[in-house]
Amino acid sequence: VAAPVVVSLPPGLVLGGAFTVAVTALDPATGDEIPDVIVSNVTLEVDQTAGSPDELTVGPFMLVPGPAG
Amino acid sequence: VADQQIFMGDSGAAPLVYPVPPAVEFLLKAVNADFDGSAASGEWLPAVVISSDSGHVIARAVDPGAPVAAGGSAEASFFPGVKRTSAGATPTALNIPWAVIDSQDGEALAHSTAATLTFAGANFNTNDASVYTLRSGSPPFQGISIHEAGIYYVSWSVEAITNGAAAPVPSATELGIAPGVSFAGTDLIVLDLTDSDAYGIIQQGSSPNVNLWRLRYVALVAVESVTGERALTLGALNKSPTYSIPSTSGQGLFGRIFAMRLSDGLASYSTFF
Repeated sequence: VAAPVVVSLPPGLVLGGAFTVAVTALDPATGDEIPDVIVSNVTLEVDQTAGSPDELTVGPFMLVPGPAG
Repeated sequence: VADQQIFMGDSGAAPLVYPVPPAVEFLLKAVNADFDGSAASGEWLPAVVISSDSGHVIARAVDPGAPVAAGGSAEASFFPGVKRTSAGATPTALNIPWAVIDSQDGEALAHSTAATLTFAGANFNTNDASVYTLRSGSPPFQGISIHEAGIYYVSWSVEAITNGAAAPVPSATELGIAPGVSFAGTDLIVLDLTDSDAYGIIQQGSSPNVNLWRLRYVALVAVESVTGERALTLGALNKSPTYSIPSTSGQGLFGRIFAMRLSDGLASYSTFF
């Protein structure tokens, strides 16, 4: 079982077009990214304030449909 | 305003980057991901790095206090308001200097000759020889010498079993620590829980006629200075304790002095009250 880790995000940060959210692994000593770490099952929970939901789909990132009505 | 969830089930080498589409704005509320570090040769930190449209890093969400070991994996959640609780200092064993000396009669409380309470060096023990030493002198004069100022919890007790006529009840002046004798100057007995009247009679007036006498003393002593001698003894200094029992079969006499240094200074002694 993978160890659970909880990290704080900056609160109230609105991201606009061309911003990026990178999920990565960093070296504690240098801050460099460690490509040896494999990342999967990335989930972003967002409060969308502009644009349509369909536009959130980018490449392999898919919009998760809401519960069936 | 609507919550949406974006998911990517594929895996890839770090970093996996989600570019916010041009016409979209959102408040990032939470991120979760699995990290497989089985190929990582050193410690690593799960992180979310947010960059602006100009390519500048706005924030790195990372907890340096929660590294994942080399070869380790983690599932990491990122959301606002996380406050890491301190792991706290590693508890360390209390190192309270103490010393104890037992009378040579030991705890068997059984002998058949007249006995006067004495102390023998073989029964002296301490965990800190810089604070306590065996008080020099022949056994009747021995006790615990104190070499450091501070607040001390001290206790001493005398127990006797007599078989036959009731033993005399020792008086407080015979057994005890007298300021000006073992302690001096501005040393202070800040709490004296002397219980000089305490004794119990196990069985008296029938056969066998066995009496148990017990005297117990507890005190907090503020030793301000160790210039000159500071010692815990029973009875007057350089005199053997006056308490003795007659020569009757099945009797015993036992004494013990115990000291424990609670603080290395006097300023805080009021905290004990």
